Amino acid sequence: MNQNTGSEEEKLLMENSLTFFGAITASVSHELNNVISIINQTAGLLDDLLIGSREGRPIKTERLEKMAGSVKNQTDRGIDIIRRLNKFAHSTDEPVREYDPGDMIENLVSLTRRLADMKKVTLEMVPADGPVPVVGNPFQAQQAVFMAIRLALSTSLENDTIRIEMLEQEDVLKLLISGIRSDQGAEFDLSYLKLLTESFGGTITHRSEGEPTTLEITVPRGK
Amino acid sequence: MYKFRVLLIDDEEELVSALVERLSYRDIDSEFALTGPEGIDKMRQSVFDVVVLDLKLPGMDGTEVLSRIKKEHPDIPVLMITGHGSVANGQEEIPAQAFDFLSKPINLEDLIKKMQEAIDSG
Repeated sequence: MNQNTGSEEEKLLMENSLTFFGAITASVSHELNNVISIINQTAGLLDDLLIGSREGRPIKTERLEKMAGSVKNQTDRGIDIIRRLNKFAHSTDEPVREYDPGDMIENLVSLTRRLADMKKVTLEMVPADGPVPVVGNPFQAQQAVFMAIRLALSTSLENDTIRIEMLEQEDVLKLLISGIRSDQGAEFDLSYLKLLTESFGGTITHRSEGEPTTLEITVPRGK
Repeated sequence: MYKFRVLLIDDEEELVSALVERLSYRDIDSEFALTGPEGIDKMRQSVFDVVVLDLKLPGMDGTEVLSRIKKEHPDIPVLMITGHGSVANGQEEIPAQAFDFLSKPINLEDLIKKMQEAIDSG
């Protein structure tokens, strides 16, 4: 990212990039905290059972198997979160490079899922039919999708579904984010999203034919 | 003979079920609920001396659950559980109706001490 914020727009882009990075890492750290908390209490429970065993209360094998399974499940959950966070962090490595947006958005959606879970909303991703390589800035594209999801979440009700669909076109990748309820008082202030998408040569529009509203983001494929 | 009864409200089932068992070895009777509405319902059906409530819950969040509990059971103290360091860093605000807060991961002895303080304050 460019550290020389020459204009107000560049400054705004920089500030919002940091906010986006912070929002993702804060959400992930909460989830990792839950993973560690479960392992911590399971270890404590094992200690308690061992104390009981020394006092003549034998531990059943099934109990140990269940606890070992819990630790393994939580370790796998933690590894998956860290792998995804690592992939997200490395998306800032180069301002422009070739990337697979399907893989990138699937990763972002997974990292964002906790925010949706808190509202009991389902995030559904519909990938393109095949790989759609893009040359551009993957971090900015993720930020645009995240902001669109967050806008949708701010309007959503329990059991809603927010759908993120990828459509391949000749020169652009189209991302459709649907499930935005304009009847929930959402203010369609897309000015920042417009600035952001323009910064990587894309566009953003919204269609509100009936309910719910769909945001359409285009990302130039840059080939 | 149990020392007291606690209701744990947290959506991580493996966490609260381990806590329930560990508390029982320390003569503390406990139940858990995985959602706010389930917790509110349990409080209508049974008597608890203290509630331990996660701030971040799916659907009805911890702040809303706290408000509803306090409306129906103003004398039962509620301890809030938050993400690590988030309160200390000012990222989350503990509602005034809560007795106090603890950060995850929870130390069991700290939790028991805090629950006893909450009960004794009543």
